[in-house]
Amino acid sequence: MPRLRIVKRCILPTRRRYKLKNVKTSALLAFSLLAQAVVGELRWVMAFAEKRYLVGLAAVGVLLGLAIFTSLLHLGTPGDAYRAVRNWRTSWLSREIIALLVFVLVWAMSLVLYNQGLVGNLGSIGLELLNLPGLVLVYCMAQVYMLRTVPGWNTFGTFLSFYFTALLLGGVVFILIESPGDKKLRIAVVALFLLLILQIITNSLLVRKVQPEARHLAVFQIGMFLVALPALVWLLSAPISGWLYAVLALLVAAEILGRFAFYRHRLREGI
Amino acid sequence: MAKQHYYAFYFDASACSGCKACQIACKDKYDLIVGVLWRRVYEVEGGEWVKAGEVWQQDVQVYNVSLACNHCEKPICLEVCPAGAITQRNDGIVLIDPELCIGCEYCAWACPYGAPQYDHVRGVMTKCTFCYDLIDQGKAPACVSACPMRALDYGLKEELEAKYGAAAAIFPLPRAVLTEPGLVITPHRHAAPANSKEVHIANQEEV
Repeated sequence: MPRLRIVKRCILPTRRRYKLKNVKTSALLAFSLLAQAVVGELRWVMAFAEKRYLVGLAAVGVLLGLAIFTSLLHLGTPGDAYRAVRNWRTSWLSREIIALLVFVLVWAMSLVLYNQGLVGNLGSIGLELLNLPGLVLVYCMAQVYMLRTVPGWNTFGTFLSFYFTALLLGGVVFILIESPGDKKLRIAVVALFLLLILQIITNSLLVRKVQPEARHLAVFQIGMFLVALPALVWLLSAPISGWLYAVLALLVAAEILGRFAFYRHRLREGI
Repeated sequence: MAKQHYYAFYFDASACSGCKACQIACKDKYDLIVGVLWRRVYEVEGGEWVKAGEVWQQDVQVYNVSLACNHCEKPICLEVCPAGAITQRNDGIVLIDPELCIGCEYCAWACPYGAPQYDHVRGVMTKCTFCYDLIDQGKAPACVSACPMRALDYGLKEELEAKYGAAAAIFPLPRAVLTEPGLVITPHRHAAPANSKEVHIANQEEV
């Protein structure tokens, strides 16, 4: 049966390839958001945590594990992932992996310091030094996209966008875990919205260099913000309720959409 | 330091009929799986109907571009590969070692020629090898030998440039300055410059 042979030999492998490509892209998207959320959360915990800093640090560990797991999913041969650090001399991807490993070590050290009650001995400079590997990690992640052949990614906006994502998603996780008091919670949510505005402005600056098809995604992201804005106003004027979670979910969805647009519609030179 | 003498491909766009014999010869030699094309033939078209007085005339632009890996002098794939799986021989031929490759596809993001292709069966990246096994025997790559129009040639880049001229960027190719490709082209009379918006690839689903 010739038609069945064609389906089996050509179309089915194509469908499997399409599904595989979607899994790899989704894994990469998840890793980039999780890794940046982890960096941001550590920053929020060290700066503002009062009650549940150990839980916050533990959450960093859980998200780190999830980030590392999803990063393996985007590889063709996950068992050989250890080789990803070999070309650190020229490859920013190798440097990103090394920065991630250093971040894991610093996180573990922070957990020990907090557990032993030794954080107070560090002082503000010591605390900033603990945050430095996170900044370096996000910098390396952005540098991965500084490809001279992909002008859509190769902009300063990529760095800004990644740092804003780190603070925004990290803040969402921090709010969920720390559950700050009423006044501090409202200030935190306003700060997250300001970060989203900065994120949208940054992406709008990038959109000029991105393919036209990405513009409708950017408009959708702005639309989500406009939907969330009245919710924010109501949230600030009324007692905090369960609607807080809906607002936070909208913020996370806007971030996911923005990152999807970033990956999906890059302007490249050539083919 | 003396300039390295690198191998390059020559492509005569004015002679290419788009038959894809080069593409098939490559697939046949390396038994490539469905979806992996080390050499791709792009059909480029543009133009429209233009009214001239009482009649309509067409200004159709159409040509083919046969493209494999250009084994660039500044291979961006080699720079970005995290596993160090991509190396360059002394004669300029760029190779991917499947034993080292982890299949992250970063080289595919970086390459402006679409050369690295993901083999979903083995989970590694693969690409044109310039038929280095044939080159080492003094023979031509499979695609060059297969072309019935003699639109493909190979040799040291400076020899090809002396023989055919130095053009290396027509649409859909990027600017040559990005990676210094080992590619010399004789443009078709309809050839559009790199990054042109007047023409487009008509067979995107095939490549």
